[in-house]
Amino acid sequence: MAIGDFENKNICFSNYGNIDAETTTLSTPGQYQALGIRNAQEMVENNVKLVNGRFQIIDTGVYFCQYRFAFSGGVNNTYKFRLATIKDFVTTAVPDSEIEFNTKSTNTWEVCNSMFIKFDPVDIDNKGFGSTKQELFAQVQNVNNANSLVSENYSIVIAKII
Amino acid sequence: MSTNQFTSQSAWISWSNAIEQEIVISEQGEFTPLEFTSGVVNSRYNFLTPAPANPQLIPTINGVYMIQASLTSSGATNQLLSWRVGYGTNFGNENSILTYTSKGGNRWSVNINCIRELYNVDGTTGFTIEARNNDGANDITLERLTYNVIKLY
Repeated sequence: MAIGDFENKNICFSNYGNIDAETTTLSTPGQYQALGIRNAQEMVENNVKLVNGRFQIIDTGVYFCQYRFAFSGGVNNTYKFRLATIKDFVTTAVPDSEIEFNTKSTNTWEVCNSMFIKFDPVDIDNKGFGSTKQELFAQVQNVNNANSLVSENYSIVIAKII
Repeated sequence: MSTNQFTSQSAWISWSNAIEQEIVISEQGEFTPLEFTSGVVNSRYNFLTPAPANPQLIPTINGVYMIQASLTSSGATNQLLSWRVGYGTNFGNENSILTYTSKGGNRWSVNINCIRELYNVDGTTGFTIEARNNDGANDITLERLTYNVIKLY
């Protein structure tokens, strides 16, 4: 039995990951930068592509997003992680998506979180002319130091549920 | 018949193992399957009733499945451990493998997630989970496991 027609635009899901380390350089303490996951490997994708570390959202709706990373970094450094969207060239943090963790010693630490995120149409001219296109990506910061953060391995799942 | 928002047939299972279980690692760097010797189904639909022996998480229809497993492990002090989930012996693209440090041999709660497309569900093959010790042959203790699978489409 065939699974079905994935080409339908309303069917949106993807799973990207990597078991090879990717480093995000964080030279300024307390300042968010885009998480460096430019070498993410596609495991399955349908209408939610990951391009240069950004998920391309092409349809509005409520999405389930779960990201699971294993990080290493500066000894005993504290890092913050949050999600952000880009709509009509404007970057906005996803409210309350920030999490904080510590890279105790020099080990590899698993960090996982999941959220439902609602993507509404973007009024790109403030006159009611809308677009469904927007982007979702992750940002990280080293709270007090300038040590980089290394994504040792990760898997990100995103799926439109409504 | 329960359908999802895309009007395809729904399916899901939530399964928990609340009994401490030893995973005997015979060789460094090799995955060892977890034997589902006990556990409780919290909720299921279009999954077969669990058998007393493994496998226990058996889907009955083809589709796109999202897998999410949360577990607590211990043992193998300060060694790098890995976990992967699969359908039978098919673990697909291995870029979703989780690897982390079992710091101090303490209890560490970790998560595994992925999406799998299943085209050849046969009613006898189930979802599986395997562990690997990357740094030695020390055994791993699985303290707790919750294994959730839901059909997206």
